[in-house]
Amino acid sequence: MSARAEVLARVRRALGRERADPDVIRAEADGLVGELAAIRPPVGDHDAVERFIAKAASERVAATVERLAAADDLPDRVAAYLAERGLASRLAAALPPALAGLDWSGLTLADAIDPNEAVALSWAEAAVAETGSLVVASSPAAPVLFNFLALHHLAVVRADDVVAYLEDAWQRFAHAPLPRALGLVTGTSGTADIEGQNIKGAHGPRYLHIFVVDRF
Amino acid sequence: MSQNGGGRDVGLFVTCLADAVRPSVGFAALRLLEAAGYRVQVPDAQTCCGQPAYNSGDDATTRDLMAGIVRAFEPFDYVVAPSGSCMGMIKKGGHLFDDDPELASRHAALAARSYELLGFLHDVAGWRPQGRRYDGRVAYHHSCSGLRELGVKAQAERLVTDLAGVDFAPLDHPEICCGFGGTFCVKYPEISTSIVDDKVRDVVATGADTLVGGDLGCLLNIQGRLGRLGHDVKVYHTAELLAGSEVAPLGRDAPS
Amino acid sequence: MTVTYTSEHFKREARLALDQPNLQRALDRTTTLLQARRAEAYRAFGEFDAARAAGSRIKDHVLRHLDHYLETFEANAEAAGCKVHWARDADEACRITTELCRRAEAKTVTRVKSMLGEEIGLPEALDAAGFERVETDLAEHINQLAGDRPSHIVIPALHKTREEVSDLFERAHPPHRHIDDVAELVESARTTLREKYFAAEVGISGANFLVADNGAVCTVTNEGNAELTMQLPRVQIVTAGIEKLVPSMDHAGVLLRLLARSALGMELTQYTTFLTGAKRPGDRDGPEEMHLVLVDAGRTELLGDELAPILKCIRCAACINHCPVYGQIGGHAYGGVYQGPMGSVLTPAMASLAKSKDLPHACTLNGRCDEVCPVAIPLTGLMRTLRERTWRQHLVDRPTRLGLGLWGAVVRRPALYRPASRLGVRALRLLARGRPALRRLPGGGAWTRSRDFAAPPPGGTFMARYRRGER
Repeated sequence: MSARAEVLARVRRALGRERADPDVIRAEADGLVGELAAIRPPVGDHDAVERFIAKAASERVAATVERLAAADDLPDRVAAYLAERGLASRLAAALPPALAGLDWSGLTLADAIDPNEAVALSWAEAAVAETGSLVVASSPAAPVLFNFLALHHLAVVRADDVVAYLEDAWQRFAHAPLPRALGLVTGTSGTADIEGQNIKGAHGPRYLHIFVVDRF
Repeated sequence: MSQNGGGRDVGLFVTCLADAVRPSVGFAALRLLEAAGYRVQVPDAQTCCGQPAYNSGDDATTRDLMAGIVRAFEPFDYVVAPSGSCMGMIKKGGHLFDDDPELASRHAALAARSYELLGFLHDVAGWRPQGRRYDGRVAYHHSCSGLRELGVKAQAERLVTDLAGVDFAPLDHPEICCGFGGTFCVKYPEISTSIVDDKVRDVVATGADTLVGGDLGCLLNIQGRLGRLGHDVKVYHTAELLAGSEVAPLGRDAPS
Repeated sequence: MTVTYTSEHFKREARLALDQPNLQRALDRTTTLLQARRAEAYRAFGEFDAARAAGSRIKDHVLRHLDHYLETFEANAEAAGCKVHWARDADEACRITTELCRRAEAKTVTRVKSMLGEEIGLPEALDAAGFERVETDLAEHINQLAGDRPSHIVIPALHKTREEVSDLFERAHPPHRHIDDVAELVESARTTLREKYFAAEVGISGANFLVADNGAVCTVTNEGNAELTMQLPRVQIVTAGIEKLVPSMDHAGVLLRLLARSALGMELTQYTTFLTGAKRPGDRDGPEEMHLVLVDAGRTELLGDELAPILKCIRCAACINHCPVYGQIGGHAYGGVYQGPMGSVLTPAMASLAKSKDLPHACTLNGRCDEVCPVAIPLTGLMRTLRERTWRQHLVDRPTRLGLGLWGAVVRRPALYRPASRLGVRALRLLARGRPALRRLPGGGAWTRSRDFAAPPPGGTFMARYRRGER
């Protein structure tokens, strides 16, 4: 008997029954998350974008956030971020079409990321007000590593893509196969493994800077 | 000052510890229940709730003891014990009778009218210690069974703070175990001692001159360590404080 | 490779732990902090109790329909390009994993801490098969350098001080200089591990959740090491226990909210990632192969047992952080890969009760673990069940058995118990010789070595006095 058959047989023996009806199981499962309002924290009445910004900038998530009225301002603001920190005007950037057409002439953009890249710019498909998380999804235009490797993680999200809850975030991907890597980024790479001291930049980003853009 | 008891009958489960080392707890419980308007009897057929056996895994002995408790206390309107852990044992013992539906239902009926003393006085009898006093700075140790199995916390503190003269000294960690754990404290004495040391530090840091609680097991443990370390804190069962028992603190000479 | 963890030396190890001032300081600081953080997260989430009930029901539901969810998950994971393997036991799981590494022609294998990996002895199996194993979780990196086992399922190097880490890193990390500062220590590990991430041919992780309806593997970390471990190497392997399933993303969401709050008082860990399959056409990064090994290793046996609720555990460590016994002795005394209350159930349940018989007894049954468990596992009840088994299987030591047997014979008979207790009280009074407390008690050294024992007052037992008419 294959390991698969044997494990499944053991499960059924332990449960003391044969196959159950999938429709009945589904109905029961749906019922368990039928009333989400009762089991998740209220996000509040005010604007989800404001709430997201407050959460992301909170002490726990510790991102810095800029809200831009228009995408046109983005290259300048990125350049300002680098200049204010004394960083070179070069960065690895994974740009979706919406950003690729901007005027990036003041900066050197690399479309591949170096193992010791200092700064990477990536695109977030959504952001979650509940937790202050960015939702990043892999695709040919959005390699995964741009989110996890560089010391400075700069991320762009559209204000219209800010949703209230975690469930709203993955609902956006419900109608197609899930992206190969779907990530919730809620801060930076941190550790408290040595004497409980919170240190940022354990493996990946030490800094997370989020641009929330209102208009494209 | 008869209260809500209305002359109903309470069977007092004294507990083996109070019976042997601290009879004043039994008498205090008796007087408090009478003050609350109940007729109290102490059935002769009682011994121990069975925790030492139960917590060691000996279900056969526990079952015999529990069956004895059911028989001895069935005639009463209520069963009351001055201990959260003994009462917790009595209330959760039903599964011991899985093989005997008749005893199981008799046990369930009894468990439903069984109470820890302080919770009973506060919630069922609606009794308050009006006109009584105790002069001292008092810290409260909640037994884990009282807290988590029976939900007795605020009620017990309320009864104590209702005493005139009490300056209440809350512990920093009122919900942490004292390390007694029944047989645990003698099976793993070093771990138990280390846990009670934390409790002692918490008690001493409050500046309390008196520590009270509803479970004699915990109190013997904490007082035993306080005494060994030479700390001058008076330890009483809550019932003794409420009843105004004129007894020496646990493990101490009566003040001269 | 089966690693036999035993807890036969629990008492000795516990005593040793109590005498280590560094460990005591670390335990005190960490458990106090984590308790406070969890309490704060609990207060801030008004729906916590309702969420906990929902989380518990979700886990119950999955266990009740485990066959359905395993098959559904497998079909969806394979459709997304992940190869699913099945392992009956630890040996088979390690064999499959090392074979996959061999086929990938791996020299270096990076690993993300997973409790299942520890449980099945995967680190040892990788070492024995000759791969360079690199633990990427900072704490596990420290433990690997020190040759230590994890002492906590979430904070595996809780037992190590900064000075000890400093010595380890000085020896292991080029350029071998002495560092005191914690931030610099972390930086030194970052530099060393970064090279390994890029060098590794295979990356191995566990899973926090397996999502049945889309075949996704969910991992949560604060360090972000899972993301680098799973995306950089050519081959990605996930090992997961069969109990890790959830029906859908929404069900995972309920448990994610509970997990981070219970573990660290956070709303969500920094990195939560859902992975489905290998690199897709046009992808510029990601692994070329993704494998998942579903591991039974004793779980199906538990499923049909009274101890089945322990399979609901989501490894948050809240029970450990709130356990007064763990708080005194730390993790190593438990002898297994799991500690505290969940370990005291899992280790005897999955390994051998005879070899870990102390664990379910080394508990005060205070119930704090039951209260904080985010999926409402009745931990003390399960420990009590195990105690009952130790009694039935004659694993309780003879003196205790005899003592309890004698006590039982007397306590069952009130007519015998009354005179016996009167006699006992008289003996205590004699031994006390008029003092209010006993400092020594023949046969009671376990109590009186560290504690006084309050002497009974004059006048005899309550029952005797009551019968005499005293009120």
